[in-house]
Amino acid sequence: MNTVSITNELQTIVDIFESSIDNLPGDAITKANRREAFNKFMDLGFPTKSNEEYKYSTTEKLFKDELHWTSNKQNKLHIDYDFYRNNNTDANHVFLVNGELIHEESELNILNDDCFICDLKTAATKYNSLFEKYYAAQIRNFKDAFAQLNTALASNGLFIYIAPNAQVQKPIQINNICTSNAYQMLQVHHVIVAEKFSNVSMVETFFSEKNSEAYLLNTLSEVYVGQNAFVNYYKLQSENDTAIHINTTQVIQSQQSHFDTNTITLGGKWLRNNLNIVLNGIQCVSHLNGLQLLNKQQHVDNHTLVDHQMPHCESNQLYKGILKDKSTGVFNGKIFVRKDAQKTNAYQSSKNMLLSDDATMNTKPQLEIYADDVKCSHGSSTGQIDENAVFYLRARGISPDSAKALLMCAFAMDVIHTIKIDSYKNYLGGLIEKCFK
Amino acid sequence: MSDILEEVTSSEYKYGFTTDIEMDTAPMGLSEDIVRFISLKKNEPAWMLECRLKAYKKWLTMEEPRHWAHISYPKIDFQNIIYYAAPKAKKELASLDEVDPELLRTFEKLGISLEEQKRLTGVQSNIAVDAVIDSVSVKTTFKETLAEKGIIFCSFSEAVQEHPELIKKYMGSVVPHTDNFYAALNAAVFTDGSFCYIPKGVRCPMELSTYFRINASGTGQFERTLIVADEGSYVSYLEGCTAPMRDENQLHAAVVEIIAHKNAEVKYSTVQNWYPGDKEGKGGIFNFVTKRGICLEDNAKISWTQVETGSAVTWKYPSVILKGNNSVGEFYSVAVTNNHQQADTGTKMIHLGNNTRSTIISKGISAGFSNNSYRGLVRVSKGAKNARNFSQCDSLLMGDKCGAHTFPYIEIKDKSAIVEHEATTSKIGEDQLFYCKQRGIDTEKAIALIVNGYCKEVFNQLPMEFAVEAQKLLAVSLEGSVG
Repeated sequence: MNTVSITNELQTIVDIFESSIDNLPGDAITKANRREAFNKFMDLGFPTKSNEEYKYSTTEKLFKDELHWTSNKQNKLHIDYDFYRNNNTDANHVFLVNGELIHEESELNILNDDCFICDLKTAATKYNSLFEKYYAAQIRNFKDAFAQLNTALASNGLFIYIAPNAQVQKPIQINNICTSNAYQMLQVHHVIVAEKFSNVSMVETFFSEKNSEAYLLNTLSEVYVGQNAFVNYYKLQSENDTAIHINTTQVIQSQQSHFDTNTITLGGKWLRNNLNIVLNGIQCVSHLNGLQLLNKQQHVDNHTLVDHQMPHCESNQLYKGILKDKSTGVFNGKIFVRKDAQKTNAYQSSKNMLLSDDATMNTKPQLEIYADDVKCSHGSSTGQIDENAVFYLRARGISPDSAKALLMCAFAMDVIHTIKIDSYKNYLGGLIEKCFK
Repeated sequence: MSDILEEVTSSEYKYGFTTDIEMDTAPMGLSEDIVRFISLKKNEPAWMLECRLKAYKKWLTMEEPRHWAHISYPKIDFQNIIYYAAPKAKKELASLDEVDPELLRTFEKLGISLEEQKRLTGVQSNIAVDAVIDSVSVKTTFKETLAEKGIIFCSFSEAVQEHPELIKKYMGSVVPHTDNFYAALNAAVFTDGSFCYIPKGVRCPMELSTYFRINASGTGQFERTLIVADEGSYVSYLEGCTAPMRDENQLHAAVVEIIAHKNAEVKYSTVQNWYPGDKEGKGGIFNFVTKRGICLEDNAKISWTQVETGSAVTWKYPSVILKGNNSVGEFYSVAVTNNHQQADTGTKMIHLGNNTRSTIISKGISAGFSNNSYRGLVRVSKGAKNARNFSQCDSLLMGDKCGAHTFPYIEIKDKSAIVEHEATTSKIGEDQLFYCKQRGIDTEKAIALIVNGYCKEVFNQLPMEFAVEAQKLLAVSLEGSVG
């Protein structure tokens, strides 16, 4: 049954591609790249269980309902933009509804004219040489069906360009709001370029509108971190119980650059986060953190790959999860150290708490190492709330529920504390506390 | 330490000789007729043949598992293998004197003199050996002594004839023929192996041992080991293996099954030293083995200890199914790869019962152009209360052309489980080396010293005789990998 429906979906997607290719942003070269990506997608097909990378996240069940191609008919009328703005007051807010940039609600002027934020269509025409250079450049050899599909079909998304030496003081907050009236498939593709010696912080949030139906959101962000650049890129996923979200972040770092990311997952039905970082210069530093608080029947799969290509780099990963009800969590992290990447320091830690007998946590922390003078380690633990700690608190007159909430909150806050934007950190702190009340 | 150095400087693979023994072989290739031929040769009852044919039919429908393991090897032509090769033995052997003297010399060269074993009865080194050459069990020592205690220790074919009820009951109960490609192949064409049964309440007075040897060219070795430990019994089992040096790759696809009943304990130790191929990676054994034990009832314990130094390609995951409450599973491993060897090895701990515990200690050492992967699964099933697991996987890299990898799979479906995993990868510390050299220990020796210390946690689990052998083996395997 499932295979049949997937085959049907593939046919639908072929039709979509052939009918829309001429209207997608980009000139002839980009179109050729799109076709190449599409062919790669057709070769790969939607991942099945026998795909080792999707072992714990089968995609068959994503296609139970009939899939519609988004027509981009948004009903932006009902969206309360201020609600989202108030989440984080200290930021330049940019709004995307179903991937489409809402110009009138967004603050697109950052710093000066050398730095810009625009949608893909504008970038393809106005900044054609940059667009040609960066769009899908990192995805070409990437063996992931969703990333290729996105590259082939994406018509929406942002192009953010930070000029050399630019210091963007105020964080940019990208608010993705999805609203669907049928089971739609949305492809959003961001390109973020931070040139050398620049500094920028970004927050990307994902929300579903209240009355939204199920949708499949396939987003991809390509991030270029130039020499000595400093980039913070935080994500918050808080969609509704029917949302399916595949989020791929592909980062390439040049020498002595610094990249920080943090993925907080609170809502959504089925999520898959692919985070791939290529350390392509010496003395790069990357911090990858993540937190997932799951309940009901949520399924969240966090996949990280840190590719140490050059010597003297450092990477750090901390992923935590708290799982309730019938939720399923997956952490699959890989540290890949190439032959020449001597003096690499790479650490990875995955800590999880199961609060229900029906919840499942699958972890697969991996090391693949081809250089000898390195220090790499990973640790993974899965357990529950420490009864001794609960006792300690209860002995001081704190009720059992409050004691547990306090401990879980402390467990989760470890990840929140790594965030460098105070206003966003405070907002998240509040959200997390609410989760345990 | 001087003997280690001597070994290091002198030896490559010292077991690489062949023996001229008259062989009885099956025609090359695999078909239903070959399966029938093997069964006929072994004079097996009809039910056994039926089992084989069932497995063969299943095997035909299966695909070689290639997509997940971190190994690459040329395609194996399963029609280009001889599935049955046996030293020509015309009659039942009553005593060692009747064994082909050439054969005895082979085992003497391997350092397991059956003759000597016999003489040493009751003295010091007390190991009962079942020697398997190519496909057939040659001789089992100490059989009578063991029989007094009610212990059955014999070749698998003998067990099929004499204890069919036990074989019927237990064979395939832990590793069914449907389990995987190589298990199905083994179930169809296995030629011999060892069978061991420890009756209720008996503590086996000596170490039981099987020695496997591939001798003939162009053959594959498919043996099957079945160990059943009845209520309250204990047995320590050793396995060793060697093969001649050949340019071709030879296939070894064995199945080991362990069943531990209530309060029983089984300790299974392996020193695997199949021919690893030459320095350019030519030849060597493909070692594709399925090993699994089940703690069937409460308080049972199964412990795997392995020292893996040989084989061109290793694909092996000794596992424990912890079904009984309070049962314990352990896995201690040292895997060494050098030159062009590839190893993808580890364990599986499946927690099903309540209060089950498992420990995994894995030490990988890679040198030369080799790749060494740990791949392990810890699964806590729903309803398995208070499961506890601790895993530690360390890798040591020697040189910048080799790879060391860790691929743990941790699947937790019960909230009362506590599971910890940690892994590190590093090289031998410059400061440690400097410390040794400063005290007049040369580099080679210093490395042997440090590596031995690194592996100590595992070596401590090995029986005495094996621990010494393992230490020497380690030094030999790493020869020339320094600097």
